[in-house]
Amino acid sequence: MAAVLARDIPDESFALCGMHGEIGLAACLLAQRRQAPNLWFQLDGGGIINPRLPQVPHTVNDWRLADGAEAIVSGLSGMWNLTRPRLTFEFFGGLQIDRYGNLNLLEVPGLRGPGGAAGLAAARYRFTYCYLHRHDVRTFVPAVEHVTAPGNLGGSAERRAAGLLGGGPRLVVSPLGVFDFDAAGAMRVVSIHPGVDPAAVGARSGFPLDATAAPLTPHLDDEERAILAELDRDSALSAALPEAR
Amino acid sequence: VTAARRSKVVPLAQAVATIPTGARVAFGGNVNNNVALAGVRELIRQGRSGCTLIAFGQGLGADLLIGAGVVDVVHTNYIGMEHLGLAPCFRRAAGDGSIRVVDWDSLGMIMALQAAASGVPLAAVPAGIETTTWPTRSPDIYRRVVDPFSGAETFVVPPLRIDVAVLYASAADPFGNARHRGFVFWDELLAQAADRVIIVCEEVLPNEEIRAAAGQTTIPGYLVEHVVASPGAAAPGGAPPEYAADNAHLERYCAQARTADGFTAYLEQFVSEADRRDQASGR
Repeated sequence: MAAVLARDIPDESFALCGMHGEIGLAACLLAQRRQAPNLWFQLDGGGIINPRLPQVPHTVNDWRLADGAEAIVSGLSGMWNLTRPRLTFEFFGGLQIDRYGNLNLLEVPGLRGPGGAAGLAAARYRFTYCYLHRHDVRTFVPAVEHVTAPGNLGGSAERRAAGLLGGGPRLVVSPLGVFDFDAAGAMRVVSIHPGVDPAAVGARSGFPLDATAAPLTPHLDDEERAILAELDRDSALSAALPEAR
Repeated sequence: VTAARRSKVVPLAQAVATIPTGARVAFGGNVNNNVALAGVRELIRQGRSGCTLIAFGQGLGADLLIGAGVVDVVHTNYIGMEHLGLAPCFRRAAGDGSIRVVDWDSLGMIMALQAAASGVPLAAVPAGIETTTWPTRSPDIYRRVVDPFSGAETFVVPPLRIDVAVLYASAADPFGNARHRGFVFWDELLAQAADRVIIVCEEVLPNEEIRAAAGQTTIPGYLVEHVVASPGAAAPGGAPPEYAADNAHLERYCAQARTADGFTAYLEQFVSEADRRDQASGR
């Protein structure tokens, strides 16, 4: 999961790794050591910028991460990085995602979530990545109950008409595969992970997702495998989710 | 005439006793780091109720206050246990309606705290809010107005007032000048937005030590009403670099507090029993 996102991260950008952002953090570290040496990234409200990490920790709010970092900005200063559309992207999780990449972190029937946090920033980001720890019809829904991080709203045209900045959701990664969005802003399959039944993707989604002709998500190359093994020495990635690597 | 400068150092119980029933209370830090949990435990031991909690990115502390019935209104953008999952009491109480939750997004809440700190009557939030759930979810705090400069529709939030902010710091001098050796998070903003500030710190330093490195003072003493020394005040959460969160404890809490009985047993074991340690006056 981290490697898939890492490969996509553009150089000369600024990433926010929010709470529970271990996967995004691993992706940033991996990208920085490969195609994106000019990537900047910030760890949540602690405001640590460009840490030099021997391994991914279990939480991004860990002061050991300050060792060798390039800056530590205040919570408030870090907050304004959420509103800079030219550079910034963020990794978002959610209780639900819908066909147009809108995310819900607030609540679903019978389950009160933690709250919407900084999802509004998705209205201004250069783009967003979404990682979902589950892939089933309750998580991949036709329309989310609450939009806490706007994606393409009812489609790309609606996002444009609403005047939102940035490009909206760029990639979605789930335990089943990798997804992006077509010109109309609807989710489509990029690849499925090795070992996943193509029919399961459609069956476990609440809206059409056709994976029958989808390629497999490329395996890690040797360098990715070596770097990720090194970063996962504390097993934070493996703990975050088994298919994280 | 030479008057002595007044020390603000008081025992924990005395500082917390100044938080009245029904007060609007905020704790600082972030989720399970730099939260003055000794203050949370003392509020519970004193049996406070009817409070409104301003919870910007909070974890165990907010969950304990909710589970113990100290608060009945919660303003929040996030209450959870980060990588350990959901906050069990918050989830239960928000689900069964035993507390009223006012849902904010992070940027709106920050703007509202800045409004409280700076005295402006309202604050505009970034465009795009109209595409989210917030204006319909929380119509009392997100209101539509016409921007007099551009003529565009925009949303504003009211000041988010705090009666008492209880903030963790690594150290402070007797006059309230506080220092964070690690993360500061949003504590400076909370201190400015609150009418009164209680600093709960690991140790009280002589004023000369603060003077020797004034640039390290994060919260100046003129904002602070009381200073409390309570070593380990942020435990079992973390206060890096002093100490890390006790993950095993937090995981056990998440499992145990899933039932009301389990939560009650936790309070008996870890809140009542921590009394002596929390009150320790340090050096």
